[in-house]
Amino acid sequence: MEEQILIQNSIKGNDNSFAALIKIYRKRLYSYFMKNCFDRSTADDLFQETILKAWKNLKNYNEQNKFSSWLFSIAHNVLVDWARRKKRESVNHELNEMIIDNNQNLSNTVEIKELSELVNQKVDLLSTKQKRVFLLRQHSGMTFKEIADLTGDSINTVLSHMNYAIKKIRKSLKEENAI
Amino acid sequence: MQYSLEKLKIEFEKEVWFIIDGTIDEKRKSFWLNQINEHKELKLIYDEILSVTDFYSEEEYDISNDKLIKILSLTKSPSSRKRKIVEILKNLLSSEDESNQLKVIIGGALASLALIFTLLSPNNIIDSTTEKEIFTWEGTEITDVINSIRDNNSTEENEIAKKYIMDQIKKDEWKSSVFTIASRIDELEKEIKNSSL
Repeated sequence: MEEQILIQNSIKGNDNSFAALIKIYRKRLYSYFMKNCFDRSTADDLFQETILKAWKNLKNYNEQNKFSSWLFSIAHNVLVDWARRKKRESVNHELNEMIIDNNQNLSNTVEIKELSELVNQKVDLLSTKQKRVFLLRQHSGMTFKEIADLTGDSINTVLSHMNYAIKKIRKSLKEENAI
Repeated sequence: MQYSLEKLKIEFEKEVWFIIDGTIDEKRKSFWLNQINEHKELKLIYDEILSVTDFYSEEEYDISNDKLIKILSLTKSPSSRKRKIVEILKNLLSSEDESNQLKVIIGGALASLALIFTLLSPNNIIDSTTEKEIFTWEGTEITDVINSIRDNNSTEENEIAKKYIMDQIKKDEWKSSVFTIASRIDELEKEIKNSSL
């Protein structure tokens, strides 16, 4: 069944269509949370919160916009709320720990890693803002204008975060002799 | 307008995303395509972006099926279940296919059974506290009268009792039925006595 039909049926309240719709995005959405919070339990909670918010607010969805953009805008807001709830220090602490862990893992296994896996790992090295833009762009398929509207940044700022993210990942891959 | 290469690269880094997005206008797009052909540095920027974005997997992780089912079950509201039943019934009733006739018959029978059970359920017989109280009070009083009929052989007293019952319970059909039962008991007792004599 086409996605558009699933969306229309979901708006009418058909929960089976909504379930089928979510199954299309389950990996992209779940990976988005995993990449941002590093923890399955938290990712599960954020995923659930996003799905329930999407279900409740489906009537507000404008079919002129992409469903993925709408879904990920909810996901982004859920993530921002979660980040606010967490103490900034503890988040930074977790981030630093993850970066160290990832670097140690990379040094041991770089020869057998596929390039795509390496790219995914390098995303963890990005700053919070760079990562937020990069992940929104990659997972939601939003345009930069949409990301700018969502994050409240100017489009130039968003593009700047993305370009720095790309450069940082490229640099790290070169250092690993992966490219 | 002539651009220096450095300035061109800075501009390109911004606008390359619009090219990738497909949100750039045709005139600007053809301008950049010409520039890319002229300057390999710009092509390099473009390739570097794609080398990262194309290799990045946005589906690296997946939620467990159990967890997903649990989450999706939270979106199933009671109203959606009712809607499903209505949809099923609609489908059955609107079907003109012979193979579905049996389904319609079974569905109809089940609906009839559900209706009967609903009507016969205690909540529908006595559905208010007031009615329960009235029923209990009248039931007790009538039972006492019936007992007095059973215990008392006096015809006169029986007549009084009958009159009392008539006064008390002639208001509706239910009460009359009880009186009929009481009278019938009386008659039966008389018959038993007569036959034993």
